[in-house]
Amino acid sequence: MPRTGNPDYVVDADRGSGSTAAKRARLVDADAYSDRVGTREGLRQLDAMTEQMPGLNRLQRDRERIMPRGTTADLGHPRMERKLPGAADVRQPLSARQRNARSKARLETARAIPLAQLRAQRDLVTRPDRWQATNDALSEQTGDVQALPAADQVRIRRIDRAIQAYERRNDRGHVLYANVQMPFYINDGNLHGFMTNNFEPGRRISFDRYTVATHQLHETAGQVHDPRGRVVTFEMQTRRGAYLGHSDKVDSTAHLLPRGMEFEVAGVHQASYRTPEGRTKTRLVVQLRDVTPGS
Amino acid sequence: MSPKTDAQKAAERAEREDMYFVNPEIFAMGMPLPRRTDGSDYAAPDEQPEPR
Repeated sequence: MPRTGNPDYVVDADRGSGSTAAKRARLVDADAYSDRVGTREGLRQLDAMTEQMPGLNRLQRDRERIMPRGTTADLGHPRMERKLPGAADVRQPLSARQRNARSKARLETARAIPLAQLRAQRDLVTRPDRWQATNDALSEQTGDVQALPAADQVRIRRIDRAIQAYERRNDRGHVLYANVQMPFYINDGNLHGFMTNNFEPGRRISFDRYTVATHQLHETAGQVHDPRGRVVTFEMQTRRGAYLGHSDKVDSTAHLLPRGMEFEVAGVHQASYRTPEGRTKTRLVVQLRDVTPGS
Repeated sequence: MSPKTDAQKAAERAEREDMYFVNPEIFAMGMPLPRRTDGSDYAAPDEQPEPR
């Protein structure tokens, strides 16, 4: 039986102040971690009460909600729900057809939404200061947007609505990749053991922050310089978020996941992936399934 | 509110159709950026290129 993580500490993959290239995991005191889990549950209960409140239309409910609701369109076909690959499967670059379809939906969404939403979303992922301040504030408040200053709330709700606008146009599932940097004392010698001990199958993890991911393991793996070997890649199955990548002309498949997401660990293994040049490489991945309530 | 001029409409359309990239500066916030050497091969940011 594998040794479980330290009973005094929990590894919170989303607590450190990271970048779009990598989240930064932080060790959190076990009691403080439990408090944060309880706080999130309370916030979700408040959202459930908002949904039950009579006399509000959907727009008003969205304004009162703390976590953004999932607004995904129905699947176009059962095969369009992408499943997590098996441990022995080689991850391939996204096909040109997939990239073109997603890029088209991105453009259609950008043409349709209010400019204020488009600008808020663009500022988040193109301004380093905005990315850091927004996500640090959300993490500090355990995802409670209503605890933030009014101007920040307005901006965050605009970003949420921009993501939701894409979700409404998207009839596909996603398998996404995001790097997570483990604490400083982890290196390539103990990374695998550390991950299997602390991310056992069935464990639930929460992202209070927004997450930038990509649809291609080779693209995410190339975004970090990791000489110590302390970066793993989360491989996430979800229907949420907005594509911010390009068509097949550019090797860019960025995807912005909303805040307030919850995932369940499905497994940890060394995964092989193929680059566009045809080389095969490996990367330690933690597989996650989206279990966000209301997604 | 006065109607938008053609120039304003064109500027708005251009803004909506701008397929911007996630800023590489943000990539560099977490750690130094790797240097692309060939295709999708990357080297350490401080690594000297091999003499040809």
